[in-house]
Amino acid sequence: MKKFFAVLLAVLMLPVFALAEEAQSVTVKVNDTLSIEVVIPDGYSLDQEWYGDMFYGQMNPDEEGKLLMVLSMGYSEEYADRSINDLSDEELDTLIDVSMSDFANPTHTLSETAEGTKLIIVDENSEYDEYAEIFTVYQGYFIGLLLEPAGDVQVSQEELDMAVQFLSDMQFVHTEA
Amino acid sequence: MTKRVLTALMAVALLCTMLPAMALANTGSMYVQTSNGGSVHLRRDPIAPANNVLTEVPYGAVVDILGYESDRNWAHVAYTSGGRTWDGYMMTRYLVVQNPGGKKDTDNTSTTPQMPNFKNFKLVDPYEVVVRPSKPNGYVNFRWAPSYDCRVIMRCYAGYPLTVIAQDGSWAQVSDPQTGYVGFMNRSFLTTVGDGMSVGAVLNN
Repeated sequence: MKKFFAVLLAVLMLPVFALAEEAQSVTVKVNDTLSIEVVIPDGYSLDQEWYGDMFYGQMNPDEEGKLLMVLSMGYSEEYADRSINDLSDEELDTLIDVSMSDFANPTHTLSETAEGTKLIIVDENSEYDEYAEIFTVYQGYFIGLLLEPAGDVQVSQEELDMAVQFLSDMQFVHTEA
Repeated sequence: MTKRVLTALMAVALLCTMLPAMALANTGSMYVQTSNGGSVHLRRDPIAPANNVLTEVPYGAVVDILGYESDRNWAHVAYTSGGRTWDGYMMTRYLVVQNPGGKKDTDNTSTTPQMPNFKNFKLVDPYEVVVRPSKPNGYVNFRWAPSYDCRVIMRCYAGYPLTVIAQDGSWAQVSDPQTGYVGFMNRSFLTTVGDGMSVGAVLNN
């Protein structure tokens, strides 16, 4: 009998889990042939803005004191149709330099998504500002994820892991024009 | 509030001490500038990505502006090379008024703090600019003094309009008509593209 109730409970809970997961997944239409699907982390809501052909998605925490994240994405003629993993070492170095521009005292590390797409993690170490940004290039699109902690604290490893997971979950969905 | 007061005081001090100079004028020709020194596609239609590339326009090349699309993200340009002229469209974010010269040095990794230096600033007739981040997705930091080591007041997205009121060789003192803030931005991230450029927004101010 206990087994029966356990199975019944699991069956009843399935739609709840499905709904919960669906509520966190957002599709953003980039143009007539491309959309992106992003999974919003628990405890966050997404504000979408377009400035010209550049997309900005600000993920606001529901609670004060949590990390603010801003996803930004724009098509780049410099890297037209290529991804970061296609770049030569020299091109990657240039991309790292570009990524660190306008930072005061940056350090960078390389990471990658679950599927192996390289990520450039730039951390600001200046006296006054604490933030980090993760950059990558995918199919010609330059993608950044700004991480801004609440208060004068550094971005934690846990927050970085959440950001990398967010980028790993991001999907490019191509459709016919 | 302290930041605003300091910024306002600095603005007043600069206004009182600087000499006027001529503002930059926009012309019918502009230069191609990319963050990696690469070329830019000249496209048959104002759409990217798409299979509509007419030719590649190299870094530093001059194009003649024939007009802008309504959203100002694309410019209708003429490009001449090797005795042939192409008529097509380029993203305005890759067009600048001033000759970019050699490939831009983007390395700001010096660990030596830079003190703000105001002595070479000159007051200019105020002129309108828009923010042009080095990264195609990006924003530019709006700082309280002309140094990367000075605190960020806010961040401005691509296309955000500002007014330049003073400048030296590297930095511009800018005012933000929307917030009233006065601060500093590296001039390499500003451009005068022309009236009606698409307008960005402020993040986290």
